[in-house]
Amino acid sequence: MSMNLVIKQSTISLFLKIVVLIIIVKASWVVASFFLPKLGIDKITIETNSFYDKYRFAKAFALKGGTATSVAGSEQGPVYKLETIKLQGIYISHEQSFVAVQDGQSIEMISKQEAYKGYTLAEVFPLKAIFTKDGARYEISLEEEAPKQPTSSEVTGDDVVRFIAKPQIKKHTQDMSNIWKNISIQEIVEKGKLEGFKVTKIEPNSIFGKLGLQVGDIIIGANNKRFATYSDVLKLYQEIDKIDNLKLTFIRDKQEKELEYEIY
Amino acid sequence: MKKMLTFVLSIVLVIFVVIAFAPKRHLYNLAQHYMANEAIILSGERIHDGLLGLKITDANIYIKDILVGQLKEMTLTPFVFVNTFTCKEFESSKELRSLVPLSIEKASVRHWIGQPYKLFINANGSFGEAKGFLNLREKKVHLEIFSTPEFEKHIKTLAKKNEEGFYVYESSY
Repeated sequence: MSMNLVIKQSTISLFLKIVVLIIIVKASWVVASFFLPKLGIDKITIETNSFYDKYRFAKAFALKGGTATSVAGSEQGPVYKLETIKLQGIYISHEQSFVAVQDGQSIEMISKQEAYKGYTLAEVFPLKAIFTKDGARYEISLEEEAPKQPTSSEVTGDDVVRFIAKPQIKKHTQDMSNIWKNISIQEIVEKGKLEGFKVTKIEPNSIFGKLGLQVGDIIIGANNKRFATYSDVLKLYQEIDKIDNLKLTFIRDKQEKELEYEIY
Repeated sequence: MKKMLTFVLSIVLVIFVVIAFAPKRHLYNLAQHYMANEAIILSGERIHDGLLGLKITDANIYIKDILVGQLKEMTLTPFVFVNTFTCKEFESSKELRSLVPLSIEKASVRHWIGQPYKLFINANGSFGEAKGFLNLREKKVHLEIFSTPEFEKHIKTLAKKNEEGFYVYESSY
């Protein structure tokens, strides 16, 4: 009888100890819960506009598969060289295009359809302008030595569109090793915010070197949109073979600059 | 001997009670906040409380704002002395698939109290098999990857192949 009582007492004692342990642990966790976050973190995705404000000079030039052919002169009659007007600069945008011509010591700016010395500016291309007079067409090149057929390795003035062939883009996007052996970039993050990507290495003979980028450039955006997130950069990477025009914004020598490319 | 057994059983009981009564969702929320500081976010997931662990299903994983993939199931079992974290069926997102078409069948991360600064990693999937560790004190990752021939073109830009035929990936963070 006393043996049974002893067993019962030890069982009750053990049970009580477990209950006390549970109460202490539960109370501790309840107190701790006040200091723990009640909500987790969810990602809110915001659909942003596309990077690309398309204007397609390549189509205007009928550029295909790495070659360039000017349509000027093929369908609209012969094109004559105009030596009397000297072209100093070309500005092309989808809204307005104009050229700068030298007149003695001064520079005249002429928009499309404007006349200069009887010649009307009809068309503006990256390396040349077409004027018309009395039904005839006249061509003025920006640089006399400028090649007739722009290629992806061309580096021209900062205000002029450069050309990249789509097969070259495809070659680089299909095999990432093609990119990383030619260019190294490093993210620039300030106060937790993505500021851009610094070019830390670039092979001068690679496509990246020939397209105007330099070591130290900080790429901050594309097609008038800043890289605010890594997702923006990925979106650009995914759409690069679908777009026809790319404008890279970057900082060089503390100045914001732009490089413009046409992908054909 | 009896005292020793009592001591061990008491410890096991305390651990069991601590884990069973832990506010697991709150602790998971805390872990999410720490991960967010490292730009890692698990979003849209369903949380299932278990007696001794936590199961997360159907999570979208974002790293640095990029949706890297979807994870079917993730189990966290904290046993104080040995803690395990198991992932099943990870598929890289449509956005990343063109870069890395990765799918992980199963990955496990194990923490043992005997080596408190190391997390041991084992994984297998479309890439092959991987094993290695993460050193929390030195902030280094070391992975040995036995790649499939199809995945080799993706891995060779990140890791170096050694004489024994597998790839070694080492990185600091």
